[in-house]
Amino acid sequence: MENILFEMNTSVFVDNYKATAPVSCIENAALCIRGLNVAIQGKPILKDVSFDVPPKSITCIIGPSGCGKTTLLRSLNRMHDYTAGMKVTGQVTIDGNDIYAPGVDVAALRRRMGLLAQRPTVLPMSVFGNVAYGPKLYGVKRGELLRAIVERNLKAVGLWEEVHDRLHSPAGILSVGQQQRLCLARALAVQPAIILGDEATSALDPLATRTIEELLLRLKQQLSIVLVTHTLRQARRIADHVVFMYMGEMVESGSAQQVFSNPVHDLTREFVGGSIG
Amino acid sequence: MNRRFTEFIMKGLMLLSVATIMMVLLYILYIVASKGLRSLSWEMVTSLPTGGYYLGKEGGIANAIAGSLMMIVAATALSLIISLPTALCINFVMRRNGRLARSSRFMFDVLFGIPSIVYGAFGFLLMMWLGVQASLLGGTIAVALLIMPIMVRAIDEVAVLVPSDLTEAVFSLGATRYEMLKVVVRQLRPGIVSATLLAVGRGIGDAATVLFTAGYTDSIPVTPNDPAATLPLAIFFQLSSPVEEVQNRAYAAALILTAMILVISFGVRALVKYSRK
Amino acid sequence: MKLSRRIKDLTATRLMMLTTMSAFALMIIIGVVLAVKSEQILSGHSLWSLLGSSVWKPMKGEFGFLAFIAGTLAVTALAIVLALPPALMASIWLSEYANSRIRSLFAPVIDLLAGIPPVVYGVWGTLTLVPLISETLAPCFVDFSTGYSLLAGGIVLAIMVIPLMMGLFGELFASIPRDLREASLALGATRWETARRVVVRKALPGIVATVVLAISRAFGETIAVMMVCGNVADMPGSLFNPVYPLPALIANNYGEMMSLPDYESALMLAALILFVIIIAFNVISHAILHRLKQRIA
Repeated sequence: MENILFEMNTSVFVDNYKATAPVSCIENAALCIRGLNVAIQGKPILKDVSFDVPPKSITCIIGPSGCGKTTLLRSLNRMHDYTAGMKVTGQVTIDGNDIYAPGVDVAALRRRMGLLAQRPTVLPMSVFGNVAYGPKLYGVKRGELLRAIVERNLKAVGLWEEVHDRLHSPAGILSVGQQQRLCLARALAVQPAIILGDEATSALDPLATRTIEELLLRLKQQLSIVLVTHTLRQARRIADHVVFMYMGEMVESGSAQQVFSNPVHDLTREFVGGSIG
Repeated sequence: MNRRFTEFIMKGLMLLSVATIMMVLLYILYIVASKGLRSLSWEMVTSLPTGGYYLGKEGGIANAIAGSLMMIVAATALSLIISLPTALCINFVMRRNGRLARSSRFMFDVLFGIPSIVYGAFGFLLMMWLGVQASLLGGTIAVALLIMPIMVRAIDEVAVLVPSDLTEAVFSLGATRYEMLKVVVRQLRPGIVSATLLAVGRGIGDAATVLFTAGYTDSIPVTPNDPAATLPLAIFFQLSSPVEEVQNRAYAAALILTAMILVISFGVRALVKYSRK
Repeated sequence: MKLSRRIKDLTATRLMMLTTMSAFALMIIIGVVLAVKSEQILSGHSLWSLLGSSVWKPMKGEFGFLAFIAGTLAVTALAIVLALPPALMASIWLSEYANSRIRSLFAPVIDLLAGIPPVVYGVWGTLTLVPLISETLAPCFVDFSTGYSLLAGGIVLAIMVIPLMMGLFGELFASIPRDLREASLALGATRWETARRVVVRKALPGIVATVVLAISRAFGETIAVMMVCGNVADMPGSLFNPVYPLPALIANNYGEMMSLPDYESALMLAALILFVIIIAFNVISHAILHRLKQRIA
C-alpha cells in the first residue's frame, strides 16, 4: 500500500517534559499498565490492574458484564478526564512515557489511540468530512492531499468501492456496519499506533461483525489493537493475548492459547468454560 | 502550539461571556430589588391609590395586584379549557406524527410567535364587535389568546414523551379513546401543572395585550365589565410620572411582579424535579 | 360495548377536534380581521406609497411606514447581533467545560431571568442604560443624544433574549450524545475543536430554531423597547438616534385616535404587517430547518 503521510509531531509531551521511566515491561510493549486504580466518588471500579499490551497483535479484554472492562479501556486514552468524581491513579505508559504524568498533551496522546465505540459514532458531517476530520485538525489543508488520505483509508477498510460515489452525502445514511467501518477509517486517518475497541461489534449483524474482525486481523500487522469483547467466541476467533477481568481486578493475562486451553486461575477456567458470566 | 493557543483564547472568551452576562443580569435584579425594597411597605401592597393615579401621592398598588391576579386566574382557566384538549388531540386523536399533527404543531409555533401587541389589537377589535368596554373581561380574553399557544406547546412537549406502549396497553384492556385519555392525563399531571405555571408567568407580565383591552382604574374591579388595573401597566404608567411617590409605586410593582415570577419559576423547577423521581 | 360509553367517546374526541380546529380558525380570523380593518387605508393609498415612504403625518393624511419598519428591523438586528455571540459562547462553556454543580447553579438563574417581564427590563433600561448612553457613551461619538435611542433599545432587547437563548441552547447541547464528543476527542481534537466542529454542528438546526424564536420575540416586543427607544419617526441613522418600531407605534396611539378612521386603519395595517412578517418568517425558517436537518442527519 502506498504510504501517504502528512507531517506532524508525534510527541505526546509538551515542551521538554519527560516522565520518569516506568517499571519493567515486556520489550516493545505498545502499552504498559501498572497499578491502575480507578474510583468514582470514592467507590473503586478498578483495583490495581497491571498488564502489558504486546505490539502488533490483538489483545482482548474479557470478563462478565460490570467487571470494569470498559472503564479500563477508557482510562487508556484518558477519556475519564471530564467525568466528574472520577479518580485515576497508577501508570499507563506508551513508548516509556506515563500518560497520566503532568504536562501531557492529552489531545496529542489521544491521536495515537484510535477509538471504536460500541455503536458507530459518525460525526454530523459527510462521509468525506468524517475521514478528513482528524487530518484537518492537524493542519492538512490541501484538497488533493485530503482526498488522497480519505481514499486511502476508505480503501483500507474496504469501504471505498461502496461509497466513492456518495462521499459528500451525510454519513448517517450508511448502514450500521458501514458506519462502523467508516469510524475505523476515520481513526486510521490520524495514523494511530493503537486501536481501542469497546465491544465494537455488539451493534452489528454477524456478517458486518465478520468484516470488522477480518479488518482487525489485517490491521494488526501494522498496529496494536486492544478490544473489549462481550463474546468469548470473538476472543477465541481473533485474540493473540487475553486479559481476564473479574470484579474490577485483573485475574489473569497471557497468550490466547494459554488462557483458553490452560488457564492458571480457577475463576478463569470457570468463565472460559461458561459457568460464570 | 497554535491549537493550544486557540483553545486558550476561546476558553477565555467563553468565561468572559459568562461573567459579563451574569454581571448584567445580576445588576438588573439588584436595581429592581434595591429600588423596589425602598418603596415597598405593607401599606403599599394593601391600599388603593388616592388622588388620581398619575399625580396622587397617597396610597399603594392593591388595585393592580388584585386586577392582575383576577385576570390571570380567569385567563389561565379559559386558556386551559382550550389548550388541554388541543394538545391531547394532536398527540392521541390525530395520527402520531401524521401530516395533520405536524401542521397543527407548526401552526401553534406561528401563533406562539405572534407579538403580544397584535393579540392586544385583535382582542380590542373582538371586544368592540362584542360590545364590551375595556374591562377585566376584555383583558382576560386577550391574555387567554396570548397564553393559549404557550400552553399547547408546553403540554405537547410532555405529551410526545408518553410511550405508545402505554396507550396500547390501555386500549388492549378494551378502553375507548376517551377512557385512555383519562389515564394519560393522570400521567401528564405534573407536565400540565408546569405548563400552566409557565403560561401564568408569561401572561401576568405582559403589558401590550392589556394596554387597550383592560383599561386602567384606581379601584378593584367588582364585575367582569369593570376596567381593571394590572401590574405591568401600573409600572409602565407610573414610572413616567413626575411625582416621586408615584414613581415609587412603579418600583414596588416591579419588585412584586419579579417576585411572583421568581416563585413561579422555582415552582416549575421543583415540579419537574419531583415528577422525574 | 355499552352505548353510553361510545357516545361519551365520540363526543369527547369530536370536541377535541373542534378545539384544535378553532385554534386553526383563530389564526385565519386574526389575519382576516386585521386585513378588513386595514382596507380603508389601503383603498385610499397604494401599498407602495405606504411601505415605501417614511413621511408620517396622520393629520395631513400621509402614512409612510418605512421609518417604522426600518426601526423594527434595526432594533431586532442589533439585539440579535449583540446577544447571539455571548449567549452561544456562555452556553458552550456551561455545557462543555463547566462541571455539573456549576451547571445546576446556573440553570435556575437563567430560567428566572427568562421569565422576568419585559416591563421590568424596560424599567432597568430607563434607570441605568439611558443615562449611561446620554452622559457617558454618546458624548464620545456625537454632539448630543437623549439616551433614548436605537442602541438602548437594542441592548435591552439583547439582554431580554439572552436568557431565552441560553435556556434553549442548554437543553440542546445536553441532548447531544456523549459518544459523539468522545469520538472527536479520541481523534485528538481539543475541547474547543470538539465543541465547534461537532457539538455546534450537530446542534445547528436547533440553534437556528432558537435564533428564529429570539428574532420573533425581539421583533414583536413592545413595552421594553418602547420605554427606551425614543419613539421618533425618523429613519434610523446612528446608534444614538431615536427609532420608532412598529409595535411601539400601535401601543402609543391606539385607542386615542379613534376619531380619525384613516389613522385607526393605518395602525391596523401596522399590526397586519407584523402578523404577515412573523408568518412569513416562520414559514421560511421551517423550510430552512427541514433542509438543514436532512443535510446534517
